[in-house]
Amino acid sequence: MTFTEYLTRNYDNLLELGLEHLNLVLVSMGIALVVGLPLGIVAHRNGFLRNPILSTAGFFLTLPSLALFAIFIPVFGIGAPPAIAALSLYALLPIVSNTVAGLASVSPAVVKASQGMGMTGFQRLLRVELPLAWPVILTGIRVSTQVVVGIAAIAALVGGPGLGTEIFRGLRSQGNASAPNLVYGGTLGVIVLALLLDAAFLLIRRLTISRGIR
Amino acid sequence: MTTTDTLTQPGPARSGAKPMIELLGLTKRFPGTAEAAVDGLTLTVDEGEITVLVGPSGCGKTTSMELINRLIEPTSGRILIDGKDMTHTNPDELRRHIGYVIQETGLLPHRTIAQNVGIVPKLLGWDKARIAARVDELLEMVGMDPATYRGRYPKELSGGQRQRVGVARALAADPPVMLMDEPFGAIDPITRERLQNEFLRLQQQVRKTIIFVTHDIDEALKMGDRIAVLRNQSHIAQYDTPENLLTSPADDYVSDFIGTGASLKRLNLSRVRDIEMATDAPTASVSAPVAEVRAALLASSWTSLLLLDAAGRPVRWVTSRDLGRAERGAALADVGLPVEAIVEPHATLADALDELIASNVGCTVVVDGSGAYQGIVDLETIMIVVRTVRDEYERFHLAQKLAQQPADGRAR
Amino acid sequence: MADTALATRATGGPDSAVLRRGGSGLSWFGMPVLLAVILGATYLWVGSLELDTIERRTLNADQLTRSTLEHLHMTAVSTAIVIVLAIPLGVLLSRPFARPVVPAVLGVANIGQGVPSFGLITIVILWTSLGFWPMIIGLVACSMLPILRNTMVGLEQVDRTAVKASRGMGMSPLQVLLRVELPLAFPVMIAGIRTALIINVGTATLGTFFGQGGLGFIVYNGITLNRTPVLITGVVLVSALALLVDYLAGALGRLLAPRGL
Repeated sequence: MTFTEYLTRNYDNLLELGLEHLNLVLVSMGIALVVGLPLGIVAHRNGFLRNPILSTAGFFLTLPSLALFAIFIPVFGIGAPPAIAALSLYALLPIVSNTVAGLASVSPAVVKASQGMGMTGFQRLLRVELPLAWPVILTGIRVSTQVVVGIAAIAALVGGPGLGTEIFRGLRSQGNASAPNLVYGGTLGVIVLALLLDAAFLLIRRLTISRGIR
Repeated sequence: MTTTDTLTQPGPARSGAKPMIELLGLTKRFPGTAEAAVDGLTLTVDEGEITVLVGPSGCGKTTSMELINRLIEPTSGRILIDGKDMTHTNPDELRRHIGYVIQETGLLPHRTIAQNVGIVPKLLGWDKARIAARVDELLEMVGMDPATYRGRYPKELSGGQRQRVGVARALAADPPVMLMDEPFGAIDPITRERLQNEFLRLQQQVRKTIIFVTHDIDEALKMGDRIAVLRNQSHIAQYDTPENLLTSPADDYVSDFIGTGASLKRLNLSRVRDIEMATDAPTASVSAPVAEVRAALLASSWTSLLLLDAAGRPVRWVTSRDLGRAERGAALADVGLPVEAIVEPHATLADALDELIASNVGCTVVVDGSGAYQGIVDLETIMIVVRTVRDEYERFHLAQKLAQQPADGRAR
Repeated sequence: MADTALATRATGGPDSAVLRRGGSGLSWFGMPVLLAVILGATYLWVGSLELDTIERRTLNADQLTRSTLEHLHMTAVSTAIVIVLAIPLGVLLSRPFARPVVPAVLGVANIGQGVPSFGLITIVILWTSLGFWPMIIGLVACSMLPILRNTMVGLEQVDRTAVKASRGMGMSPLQVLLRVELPLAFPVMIAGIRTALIINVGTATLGTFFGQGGLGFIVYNGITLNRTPVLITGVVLVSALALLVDYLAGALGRLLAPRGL
């Protein structure tokens, strides 16, 4: 069976796995954002907590992915939950560190002027600092997403969903004539998903960044 | 002579205006530093006046200003605005009622010009229509066409335009008090000059109580109704009117700071409106018959005649020979020289002199706010002022020397 | 692939200053102490358990030592190869004559970010065979980018005036490269090497799926046999190894960095 034949026959299956994969990525990214953005803001505002927060986020990124997936199995059992937990932690560092860097890059003059006009700390954060830091933060989110899309393929090794299962199937049926197709299909699917998500980020960039700072 | 005893409010007799800003023993000590950054600053600014804090860098003038809107919380001392103690009120609330302009403008780069100007009104909860109307009014006021600039972003403006928006933004909620920290410091000299003049004209209308920080004594002399020369830790070396500062500096520190050329600097203090300008120059409408124009020129003792448009605005200088060309068929509007040197009455003599030197004829035309012809300032008028000032100044110094050092040959 | 984020961290724009600050006692001794505590605690915990025969088959000194050595072997060989390949390539690509191809290389590098390491290694294995060297090729392919990119970026950001001044003093281009550019680019390059190392330690965990053992064997055994002590031991060992390698690479980089940078 040629690769094209495989693709036409398994189109449905690949699409389903791709959606599973995407789901895994989006849920993990959502959790990472909900946790990472506030952590980044705290790290920016509190010099004392900055290094502990960044080191902790960096610590997770240093751990081998298989180890991080595995550690949650005793807690959550096999399946999507341990994968989501691990991927969320992986996604943390780029989000947190870019939030810190983005907020630090906001011009002190703009901050001082906003303060001098009587904005409260919260108004300043919401209306001035976060919008101005947003391009850098968005880059962090984009990097995180790319990392998570790739690593999510490993989730299959610990019984998780997504395109990794197709690669794993191929690996286990090694020697079989269809094995390469499965591996190519899974790998290609991940790459396509990564490219699509990257394109989505370009669009989000266009839509969410003020013309004044583009 | 003025003393440096700041608590007794030295300087010339005050006009009886009510004090708007009162600083009482304002002190800031940053943690971990031995010396206070600002040490017991006491200063009163009257309503509608511009007080300039001037001093070398590091003297604490910016810190002093930031103590007033409490961007820096004072260690001790009190701030009274319009008689009310602001030392312990909500700082955000306080700042919404104090206009604030800084050197770097601090415009929000992600917001349009209209949104920038509307920040404080929005914080104060004005409705949209009122904000929009106010924004247009302010842009108009600082000389920027609202239709053109409303929707632009800060990066699309020049430095001078940005600073204009900064001023408009500070005026947005019509605060009684404004703080300006080197607002024209980062702008090229020519634009700075223009912005200073525009701002003085604006101040004539709005009559804000302003504290203005600069390190440039020339700017201080030009902008200030009163100037506080600061030394280290914001100690006031002299708090006085520009005239008194130039004619009777309190001590060597102040006279060193003012530097040389004090009599030329006095040109910065005399306004065109204060001197006698020539009003006998022949004028005629640009649409008048040539014969009538020639008659007007001949009837005067001048060699040139000023052509005015329908609104009375100066258009061209014409001589007898230019009129000859007009008689041979050229349009009046095409002959002679365009009027380039134009100042308004609030301009300083230094401005008038600048214009005059740069222009193609030996005099500067004075116009009112709407651009209509008022009179002429020529070199001779300016020379007379310079001479009187210098004479007065020298007489004053001679008297001072004689009084201070009766039997001392060291006098320079 | 973790390399994107790690490379971002290593080449870092504004954030590298935040992340690479340090030199305090905690940053020198904190990590070894933490690792000792975690390893000690795991040892005591596992030691206190009654292990069944299945657990004992994996959790014995022989097996643990062998897996650790296999893991180190894969990591060391692949990192050495990737350094030898990627640094000269990065230097070549930073020379003026290579300028036309640089955008293309960086473009491929960017697409490469989206390639899953697991898929990449499997493809290499399918094309060749199961074995140590195919595994190494896969690892090298996965960790190539950060070193290559950091070498290029590091050389790119060397102060042009320093280069010009050195040329002006009569150094040959080679002398400028060896004495000025490479020393000045060193901190960024070492960060890339460190990143590659972390990727290799992490990806070598997959070695067990390709018959190459390593600490992934312990972890995977723990999962498939459903034995938590085995799983935890594997996770702790491989994590400790990654953190230790990262720590040593960081310390080495700090010691070797030219003074004044």
